Amino acid sequence: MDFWTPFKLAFDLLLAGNAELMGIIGLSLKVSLTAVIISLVIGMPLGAVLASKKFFGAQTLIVISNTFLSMPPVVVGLLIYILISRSGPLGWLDILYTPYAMILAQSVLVIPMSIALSRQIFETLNNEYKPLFTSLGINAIRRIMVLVVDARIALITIGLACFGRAISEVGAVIIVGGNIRHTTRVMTTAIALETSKGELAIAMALGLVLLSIALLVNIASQFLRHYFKKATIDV
Amino acid sequence: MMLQNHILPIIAPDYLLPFESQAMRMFQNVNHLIIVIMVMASAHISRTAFADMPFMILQSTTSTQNSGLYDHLLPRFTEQSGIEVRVVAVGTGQALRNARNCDGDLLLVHSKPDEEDFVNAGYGAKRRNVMYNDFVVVGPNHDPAGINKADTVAEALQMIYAQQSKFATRGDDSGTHKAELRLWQSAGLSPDALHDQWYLDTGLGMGATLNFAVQANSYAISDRGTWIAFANKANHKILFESDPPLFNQYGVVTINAERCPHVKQVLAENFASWLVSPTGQKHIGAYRRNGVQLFFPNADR
Amino acid sequence: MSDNAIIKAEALFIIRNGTAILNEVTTHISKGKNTMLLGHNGAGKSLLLQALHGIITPDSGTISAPPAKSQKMVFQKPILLRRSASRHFDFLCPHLSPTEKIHWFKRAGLMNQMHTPARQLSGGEQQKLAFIGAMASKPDILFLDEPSANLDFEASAKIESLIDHAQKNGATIIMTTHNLAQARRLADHVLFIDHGKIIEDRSAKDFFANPLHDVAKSYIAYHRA
Repeated sequence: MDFWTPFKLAFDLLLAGNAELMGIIGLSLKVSLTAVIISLVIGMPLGAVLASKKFFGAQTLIVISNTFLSMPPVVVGLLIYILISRSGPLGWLDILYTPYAMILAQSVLVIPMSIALSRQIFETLNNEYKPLFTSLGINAIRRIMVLVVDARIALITIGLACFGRAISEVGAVIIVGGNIRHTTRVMTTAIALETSKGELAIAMALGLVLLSIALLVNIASQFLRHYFKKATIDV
Repeated sequence: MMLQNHILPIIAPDYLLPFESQAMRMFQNVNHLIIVIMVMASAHISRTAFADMPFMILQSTTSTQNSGLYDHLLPRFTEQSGIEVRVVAVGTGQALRNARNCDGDLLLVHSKPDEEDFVNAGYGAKRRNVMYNDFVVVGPNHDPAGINKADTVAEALQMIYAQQSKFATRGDDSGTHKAELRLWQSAGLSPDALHDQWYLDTGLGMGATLNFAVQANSYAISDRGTWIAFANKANHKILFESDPPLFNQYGVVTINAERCPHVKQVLAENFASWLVSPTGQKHIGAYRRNGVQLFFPNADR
Repeated sequence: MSDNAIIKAEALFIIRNGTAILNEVTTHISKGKNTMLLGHNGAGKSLLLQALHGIITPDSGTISAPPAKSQKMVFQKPILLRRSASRHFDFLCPHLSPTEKIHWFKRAGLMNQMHTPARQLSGGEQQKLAFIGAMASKPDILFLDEPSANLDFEASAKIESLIDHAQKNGATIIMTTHNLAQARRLADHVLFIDHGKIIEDRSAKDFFANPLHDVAKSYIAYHRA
């Protein structure tokens, strides 16, 4: 394999609109984007709560959440597998080896990230707004709502970081998804498979495709951010 | 309605108010976009995950999958039966573990002693022979230990041991690994990665181990199917083969429905009997990779 | 004076790093009057303002005051949400009708800026926005921290007319300023603060006519407007 083979391969595959590849790309995006949205919906309010209220267990929660940032994806995959296996407590959900399990695993992987990042941003915001909040006597829930709305552009940055971690991981989705052709095969698991078959050029080509997708997502977010820049925080 | 009254105000409070800034209006559109994407995503995922066709999960090994057999075999079965077979290809140990956890409907591996234990322990219902292939010893072109001249596999291994030539073992409790250990045993040897520096324990699947062996210029034992299909052979080739101990039997095991009440018994039995039926056996025998037959049907009849 | 007091502060102390930055402050704020806090930078004017309003808790001492909802504060540097002026106003006064809102924006001359992001307004416009946001809910007490700092003459005049209007409608004004001319115009009562202590607590007329302490005297002389 010469250096340029993967590039040519990647180009040919995309140009030909190879149906299987398109399916894999589509599934990768669906799984990871959904996981990102879930992690934002859950993580941002939690980050806001942690940033604004000083309740008893807050420090502990923060430490635990930050530790999960270093959680290897394969370990997350194992944990979720244990839960949703037929012999596990959530076996009745019957989601093992389906994209739902993959979304679940990636969400769990990425939620600590969205909590940690949003807490950072909310802490800054909260410190700035605190005198106004106190002056107006606003209750905790309303404060959190204000923080979440005002940090909306932070959503983009946090979402991007979470997306990066989700789309590039293979350990979690391969265990709970099973890398089943046409059903739970995504870009990263396909790359792993091709590598194990010794098909290094194809694996590299898929890697290049994955990078291009990530590039596109980043470009799109940059536009979004730029559009909103004037009204909001400079993140 | 719930969306409008409760959720949207949180992410875009402007939605309900008459006065909005331009930015808010744009954000509202983004909100809509996100929701549309989510709805589309869940709709599409439903379609892919829950196909109209009945399906079953087959727990099998990476070597079987990498050989390309399933890509050849399964469409034929599906066409005939209308049943989709979803293959989860992992190491033999993991396949057995998954089946024990009731996370599969059928098991197809190549480790007869383990398969029989599985049935005897009550996890499996019935075990049947399906096909066999053989293991081969691959190594670098220049054959440093000269195993090409050996008469038996035991002799070949002894030569490698004597020369202390590099040897990559999977070390992962897979069917292949267990077979490899049995071969060393029958040669009267027991190399271990800790003391024997030439015995390299990768802990990886077959393909990954081959990648490693090629890179590290070492010998390795592989099933023929994976090797033929392997695309990164570089300077490696088969240096020893065709000795009876290298025989590698594949078996299909149905899951005990009493232990695993959710197992798709009917579908699984459908596929298992198809595999050992004349039709299935014919298709198995017909599979060629690079012009070479990789699997030899040998169901009991 | 005490039966007309709307806020009573007794022996307030705020201690930071071992020093009392508010040092045994005792005063009664009269209802309906404009009480002006004067003093050098760092004397503790803003601190006292915030303590009286209740957003800083003193380390010791008591404050009796009407409920927090009836007090509003305009900060020296306005704290604005990252939204349009209109939306920020809604946040400050959630229960106002659209008609009333328009009325206030018109009054402040901010009609054209309604949909501009609040943070993009000029300094004067931001201050006016903060003002109408505070005044529109018709608070009993208005706390103003250097309301005209960094404003041009026109905006400053507008602010003063708004303050005047609020007071005429019964609000108690407690404010700080460095603009002595403004102090003379607006103040009914003066609290002069030096190093965390109130050293003069008198009617404005008396204070400007005859300041008792040297510090106060030199302050007035220095800021001759």
